[in-house]
Formats: sequence, C-alpha cells, structure tokens
Amino acid sequence: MIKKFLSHFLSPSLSRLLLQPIALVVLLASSVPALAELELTISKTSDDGIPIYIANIPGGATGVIEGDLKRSGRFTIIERSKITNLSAFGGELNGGEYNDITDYIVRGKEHEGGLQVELISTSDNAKTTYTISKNTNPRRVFHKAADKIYEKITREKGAFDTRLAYVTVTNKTSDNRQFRLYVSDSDGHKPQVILTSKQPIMSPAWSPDGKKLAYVSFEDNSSAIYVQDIFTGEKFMLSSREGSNSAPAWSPDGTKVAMSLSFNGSPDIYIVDAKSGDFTRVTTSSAIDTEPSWSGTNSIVFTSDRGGSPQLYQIAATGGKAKRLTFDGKYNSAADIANKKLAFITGNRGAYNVAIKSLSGEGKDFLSNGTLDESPTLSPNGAMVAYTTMKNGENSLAVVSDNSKARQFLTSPVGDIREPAWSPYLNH
Amino acid sequence: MRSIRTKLVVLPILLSALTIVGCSSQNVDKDTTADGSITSSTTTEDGTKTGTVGAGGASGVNSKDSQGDRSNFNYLPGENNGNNTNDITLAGLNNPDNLLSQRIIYFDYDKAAIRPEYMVLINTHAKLLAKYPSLKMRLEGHADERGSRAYNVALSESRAQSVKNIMGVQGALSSQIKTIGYGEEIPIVRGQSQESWQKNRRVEIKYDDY
Amino acid sequence: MLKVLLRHPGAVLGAIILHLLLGGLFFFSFDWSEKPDLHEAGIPIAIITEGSLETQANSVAEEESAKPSEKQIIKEKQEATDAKEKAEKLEQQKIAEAQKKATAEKKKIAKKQAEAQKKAEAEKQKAALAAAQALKLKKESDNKKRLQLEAKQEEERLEREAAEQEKAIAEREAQRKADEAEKAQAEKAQAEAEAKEQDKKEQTAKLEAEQIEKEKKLAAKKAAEKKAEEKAEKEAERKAQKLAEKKAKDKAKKEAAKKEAAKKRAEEKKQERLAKEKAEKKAAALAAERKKEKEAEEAAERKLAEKRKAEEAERAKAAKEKAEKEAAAKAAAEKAEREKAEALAAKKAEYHRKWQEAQAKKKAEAAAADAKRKSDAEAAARNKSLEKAKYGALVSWGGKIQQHVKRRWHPPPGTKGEQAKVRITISNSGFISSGIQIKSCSGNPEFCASVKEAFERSEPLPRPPSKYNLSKSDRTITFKMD
Repeated sequence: MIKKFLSHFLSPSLSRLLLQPIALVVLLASSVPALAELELTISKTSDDGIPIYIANIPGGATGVIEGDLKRSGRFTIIERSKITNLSAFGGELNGGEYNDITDYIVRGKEHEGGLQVELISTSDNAKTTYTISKNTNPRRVFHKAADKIYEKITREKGAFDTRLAYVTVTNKTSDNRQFRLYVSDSDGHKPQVILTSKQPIMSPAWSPDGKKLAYVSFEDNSSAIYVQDIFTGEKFMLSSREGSNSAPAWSPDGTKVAMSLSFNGSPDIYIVDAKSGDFTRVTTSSAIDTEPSWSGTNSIVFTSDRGGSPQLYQIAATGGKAKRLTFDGKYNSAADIANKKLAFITGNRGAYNVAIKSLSGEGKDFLSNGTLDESPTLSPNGAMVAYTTMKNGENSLAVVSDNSKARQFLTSPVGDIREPAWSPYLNH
Repeated sequence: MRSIRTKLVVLPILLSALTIVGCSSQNVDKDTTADGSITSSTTTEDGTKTGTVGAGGASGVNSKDSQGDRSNFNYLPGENNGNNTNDITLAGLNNPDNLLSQRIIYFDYDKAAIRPEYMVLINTHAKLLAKYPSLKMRLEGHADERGSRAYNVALSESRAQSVKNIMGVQGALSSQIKTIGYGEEIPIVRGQSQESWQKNRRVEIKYDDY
Repeated sequence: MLKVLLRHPGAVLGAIILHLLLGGLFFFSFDWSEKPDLHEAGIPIAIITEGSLETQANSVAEEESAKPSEKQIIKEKQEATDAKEKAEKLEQQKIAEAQKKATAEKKKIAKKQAEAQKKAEAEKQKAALAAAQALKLKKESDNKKRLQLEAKQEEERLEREAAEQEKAIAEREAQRKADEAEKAQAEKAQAEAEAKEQDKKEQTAKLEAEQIEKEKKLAAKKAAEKKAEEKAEKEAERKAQKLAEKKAKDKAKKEAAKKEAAKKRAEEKKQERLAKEKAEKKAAALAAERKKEKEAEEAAERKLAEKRKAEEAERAKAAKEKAEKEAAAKAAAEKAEREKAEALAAKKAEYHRKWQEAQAKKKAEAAAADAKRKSDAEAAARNKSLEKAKYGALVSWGGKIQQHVKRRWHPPPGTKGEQAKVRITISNSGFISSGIQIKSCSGNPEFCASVKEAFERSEPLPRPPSKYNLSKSDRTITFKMD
C-alpha cells in the first residue's frame, strides 16, 4: 500500500530504495542527475514521543521523573536495559554514540538533600545541569527536576510540581456518608485531608497563588461558599445567599470569585469581590447559568440551558451578550480553561466524555471513552487533563495528555473520588 | 333458513362498516348500544381511558392532561369532608394514610418541570402552609449522576424552585419555604440504570418538626 | 305429495305459520346473542372471512358489490390480489388522512378552548383575584376559588409546555445550523434569552398584580357579578365544546361515507376493467394466431418460387461475366508487365547510388557515437554510485528530520484535517538558515503558529550527512504538515 503510494511519485528504483530506511518519506520524482528538494509529510497522528533515557538516580527520583514525563504524552521513555555502559553523573559522555537509541540522556545524583540532574542531547552532545534544593516533600524535588527537563526540551513550562484538590466520599448512599476535601501532589501522591464533613463538599477551586481553596459546603441544610487557606486552615464564608451558592472560580488576578447564585430566582453567574464580598451580576437569563470559568481577565465561559440543553457560552465579565461556543451534541458543560485550551464534558448517545478544544477554534478532540466521565481540569500548562471516570460503580481519578497519547490512573485514598481541581503553578 | 343466513352475512357487514366509521375518528370511540344510540368517551393516545377520580368530593373536574401511562389524578385536594385521612392539618403530616405523608416528587431527565400527577400532592402541602403561616418547609432538590456535578446542583435547585413556585400560587408564603439543590451528591439508590436514575431525580419535602 | 297437501290446506297453513315462527325465533335469538359490543364488532367479520381466506376489508367490499364478475376475479387470482393490495393501500391512506384530519380538528378545538380560557383568564384576572380573597371568607365561594386555581395551573402548565417545546425547537435549529456564523448564533441565543426574560417579567408583573389585588377587599356585590360572568363564560365554553364535538362527529361520519363510496367505485371499476381486458386479450390472441398461420403458409409458397427463379438468373449471369472478364484481364496484364520492367531498371540504379552514400555517412557517425558512449558510460558509472549513495544518505536524513519534528509538534486540539506546507533550509550544523517559510496554511492561526513552533522547538535538527558536500538545494526541504 505504502509502496504503491510512493511509486506514484517516484521511479520504481527510487521508491524501493526509499522504503528501506523509513516508510513515510515522500520525495518528488526527480530528473537525474540533479536531485529535487526533499519533501516530507508529517502527520498529527503519531504514537511516539521524544525518546529520553533516564539513568538510575539513587533516592527514587528515576521512577517519579519517568512517570511525569510519560504522563505528559510528549516523551517515550527508553528502557534502562538499552544502554548499559553509561558513565556516572559528571563522567565523560559521547552523545553521538547513543544517537540512534535516544535523543536525550538524563543522569543525576542526590545533592545536599536535594538533587542534581544533567540533561545531555545526543545529537550535539550539549549538556545542561540543574540543581534542585531540598524540600520537606522529597517528591516535589523530583517533580521540579522533571519540570526542568520538560521545559528544556519542549520549550513549554512544566506542570509536574503542582497539586490536585479533590473530594472523596465514603458510604455514598448511607447516612454515615463522609465527605473529605483532599490536596495531593499532581501525581496523586501525598494526599492530605483539608476538610471533613457529613454534608456534601463540592467544587474546590484554587486561588491563583495556589494557597487557598474556595469550595461549596452544605452545612446546616443550606449551601455556602467558603474560602480556606490550605496551610493554616483559616477559612471564611464568601457567600451564603438564599437558594443555591455554587461553582466558584477565581479570577486570574485572584481578587474576585465568579459563582452561580439563585437568590434572584434562576441560577445566574455573579462575580463576588474576594475581600469585600460585593456582588455584581453577570448573566440575567431565566435559564440555568452555572459553572463559570475565566477565559481571560475579563471574560467568562459558563454552562447554560437557555437554548434548551446545556451548552457552553462566553460572556464579558461585565455582562452583555453571551456567545455560544458549542453546537455539537445535546450536552456540553463543565468548562475548564488553561493555556488557550478548553476541556469540557460532552454527552454523546448516553455517554459523557471529556473533550478538549482550542479556546478560539471550532473542532474538538475526545480525550476519554468511559460512559460517565466527569469534572475535567487542565494542568496550568494545558498539557494534561485530570478527570473522574466510573469504574465498577466507583469514580476514580485519571490523567490524560492533551493529545490523548498517555493516560494514567492515579492512586487515591479510599472512597468515591470526585471533582479534581488542578492547582496553578506553585511559587512556594 | 335462507333468510337467516342472509342476515348472518349482512349483519356483520353492517357492523364492520360501523367499526370503520369508529376507527376513522381516533379519539372518539362510538359505542353502539342495544337501542342503536351512540355514546362517546375520551380516550388517550395510547388507548388507556382516563376517567376522573373524585377525591374529597371534588368530582366532575375533568383532567385535560392525558399523559398516557400516568395514573389517574385530579388537581384538587379534598377538604372538610370529614375524612380524617385527607385532612389538611398538622396531624395529617404524621398519618401514613394522609396524602401529606407523601414527600417526594420525581422529575424527568434534565428537566425541572413538574409532572402533572404531582399537582395534588404539591397543592395539598401548599394548603397546609397557607393554613399554618408559622410552619416552615425545606425543598431539597436532587439530580441523577449523569452530566456535570455543578450543573446538576443548579438543575436540582431549579427543581426545588419549580415546586416552590406552585406552592406560592396556592397561598404558601415565600418566607415559609427554603430551597436547596444538592445535585447528584445524595443519591437514594446506587447503580447505573434508568430505574436508579429515576429514583434519584427528585425533590424531597421536609418539615423541620414533622 | 302435492295432492295430499292440497287436500289439507289447513295443515299447509299450519306448517307455514310454524316455519315463520321458527324463523322469527331464530332471527330474534341471533339478534339477541350477537348484539355487538363495540369491542367485539370485529368478531363476526373474522368468522365470515376465515372461510374465504380474504382480508377483512376486501371481503367486506366483495360482499357488498356481489357482482357476476366475482368468479372471474377469483380465477385471475394474481391480478386480483395485486389490485386488492392497491385498493388496500388506498384505503389505508384514506384512513390515515381521515385520522390526521380528525386529530387536527381535535387539536384545533383544544387550542380554541385553551385560547378562550386564557383570554377569559386575562380579562377577568383582576376581578378573579379580588374575588379569591372574598371567597376565602365564604364557604359558598370555596368552589369558585378552586376552579380559578385549577385554571391558573392549567395555564401555567400550558405555558411551561410551550416554553419547553420552544426550547426543543430552538435546540434542533441550533444543531442543524451548527456551522453558521457564531454571531448569528449568539444573537439568536440573546433573542431567546430576551424573549424568555420578557416572559419572566410579564409573569413577575402578573404575580405582583395578584399580590396587590389580594390585599384589597372586595364587596360581596363584586363577587356576585363575577359569579354571573363566570357562569356565562362556562356556558359559552360548554357550547363551544359541544359544537366542536358535533363538528368532529359529523366530519368523521362524512369521511367514512366518502371512503365507503370510494371503495365501492374502486371495486366496480376494477372488475369492469378486468373483464374487459380479459375478453379483449382472448379475442386478440385468437385472431393473431389465425392470421399468423395463414401468413406463414403464403410466405413459404412465395419463397420457394422466388428462390427457383433467382437461381436460374444467377447461373446465366455468371457465365456471361466470366467470359468478358477473362478477355479483359489478359490484355491488361500484358501491358502492365511491360511498364513495370522499365521502371524497375531506373529505380535500381538510383537506389544503389543513394545506398552507397548513406552507408559511408553511417559508418562515420557510428564511430563518433561509439567513442562518446564509451566516455559517457565511464563518467556515469562513477557518478551513479556517488548519486546513489548520496541519495540514500539524503533519504535517511529526511527520515530522521521527519521523526524529530513530528515528536515536537503539538497541534492545538480539534484541528483534524487542517494542513500546512513549510519550507526550510538546514545548515550543516542542523540549524534553520533560511527562516521558517510557511508556504500555505489552512485557516486557523493557532494551528499555523503550532507548525512554526514545531520547527523552532526542533532546532538543532539532525545534521545533514557531511561526506557528500550537499548543496543548498539538497538541504532545502518542503514539509507537508497534516
């Protein structure tokens, strides 16, 4: 098939020659002796990433770094057994020797409680060394190293040293049900309980500084939105209007929180000043308006059923006319935005899946294939999406890369897991 | 004998002709009675007959809503008819035979509209509120697990408000009723089936002390 | 036996009376036991039709028309079945139409009722609401309030359903026009929202009005007035309903009658047509057969005679022609031979001269070509191995570049089908020396930017094979990004 396709462009001898090294190189038919310019085809659909070899680093960094890079869907980890004669950290290394096996080699060693890693490009033997200082959470040191490597190679900020907040429920249908708000590393490790309640806890949302969480609580038979410092545990109530107080979302500058309130009748989008608690109304429809997500400093994407079914709309934070963003399917909701990408839930023939689209573009790509997938949340660099998926009647936490090449299920505490929220980049 | 056979043949033809006449009008069935007179009765689209069940003497109110398989109902609760089980009193709240002991209203998928068969139940509770202005009620809305969680909170809140709006028309005061949307957080039953989902799409009526 | 009967006229009379009585009894009992209930009306038909193995509708039609052509129909079973099917279809269509009409009629009536109710409700809302307050006080007015509330609920339900319907329609419309301009969509959504908002405002206004009115206390006089009005309204409603029902009934009856007549007509026509067709066919077939036989005989005779004649004539003609031809040919041949000999001699001389000249020229050319070929072949052999090796190296380098860039390209989501063409020149150290030239890109600027970024991210690219001293054009590559 490929042969036939190529021979369409090339003389038979050339096409035979061509098929030997690689299959997909396409050359335009050339008149001998002068060679024509090479013409190559590069397709979006590819299954491999940038090959990288990570030498064994004492202290457990290797596995963490490998897991991080793999999860991004941008790397292929070269098996440890493929290179056996590698010199230790700092030793002589002729990159060209390994050029056919891998594009990059990573070596590292423990250093003053922290870590030192060097990244060697096998094509030009260029070497970069990074020193990462120690941290009370040693895994954060490894994640930071992974971020450095990721950034150097992809020229995109790494988002491995970040956190996830999520809610778990034990005894889902009994009166002994217990809701817990957790914060963990971005790979699901080191979960810590932030809040426990007999009543539902919902919709955790990170402040842009990564220090506070806004969430919905249902204490005393009514809903309210609280803001809690994840380090000190200090909290205050931001909104407890009559009816529903739900779906908080911090503005990019951290001064305001968008939310859905129903004290005026139907649920509408409001913006509340995080300090003064002053309210500004954004939407005024009599339909359901909820799930705000900031698409810029002054615009909000939200879910509304004003057209008869839940769809995504975009509106200025000051209000006005809303622009419909989704037209495909009967159910599009739960938008999350990062780095010009928009992850959302789309209903398709009774199944609810995670999809991703460009904030400005029309098309979308499916990222999940379960039947009841929920709550997509983008990593701050937009390269990964965490979401929940139903497995054996319980929700579990998964992370998928934006190109859907990599998917990992994260380890998580007992119970039904729900509503993950990916933190911003951490500056502390 | 000959004449009788002819009759045997002719009569069915007549009857079949009548049947055809009957069929040509889908919603009006004609009953040919012994004396040849024709009576009619309304029939719903799927063929089940809707009669009117008079409760508490409120008979003769014709249901204009034919919802097919849904059970018979009328809009108006009974009152002052000396039947203890249907008394709209605080005592009725604790009587398992009284309509007031029914406290759950179910909904269609992704809808906050009240199904007509729940009008009596809602109106009965509304009358109780109207009768006892100091009585307080909580309407707790719920959704099934499909779709996004925050949207389901809004949806269940809208369901609770639909119920509240009807109660307001019946004379209940807005200050007596509190709504709360729990979304899909507190299901009654587990499981991924139409049946479980239906049971979870609901508004629960709650009185503080009853 | 006749004689015996004549002799006893009394007995005959008795027998007749007895028969009549028996007959009457039978008829009466038949009428009694078979008195059809609506739901059993179909049963006697089924019994009759089982015998003739016909469908219900058809058997009815046949029994009614009962014409002499009936036997023929059974004979021509195939045709008849076809026709029946057609008739059936026609009938079904008609029934369907009738049903549709009836349904439409019913809907219309329902609509009218609803409208009337709404209108009345609007007109009297003030009075009604005020009355509601008064009615609370009086036991007698309890019933009235109930009715009013019921009407209100009904109205609300209708509104709600209408709103839902509108929503559903809007949704479908939106789906269908998914590709239309966003602006139009946004405006549409806005319009919807505004319309809804308007509705809501109206409702709110209504509710407010209600509240105000409730607070006012109305005199009993007004309540009485209202009662009267309501009575009148109800009366009107009832009348309208009756009228509508009557209309529907009449219409259904008419429809049925029409159908019956149409059925009869169709059956009669069908039978007539079938009989006629059969007769015509038979007659035609007979006539045709006879004619064919006669014609065949005559044709055979004629052919035989003609053949004999033609044979004789041909024989004579051939003999004559042969003699003439032989004479002419002989003379022509002699002449031609003479001329040919002369021409040949002249040609031979000329050709020989030319051939000698050409031969000499060819020899010289061949020698020159041979020399050139030899030197060319030597050069080509040298080049060919070089070109081949160089080309191979280029291709394998191209493969490396392709893979390298592909792994570093992160097109934005939802850009399936988008394409771009990029041209770059790569320096010997693997850097892009020409700048990244985007030759073409399908639309989306974000996608085009991702293509450019892919190459930026890819530097340094795999270095070109060094030992072949590649020219700039060798190191220039066009990429198709899809």
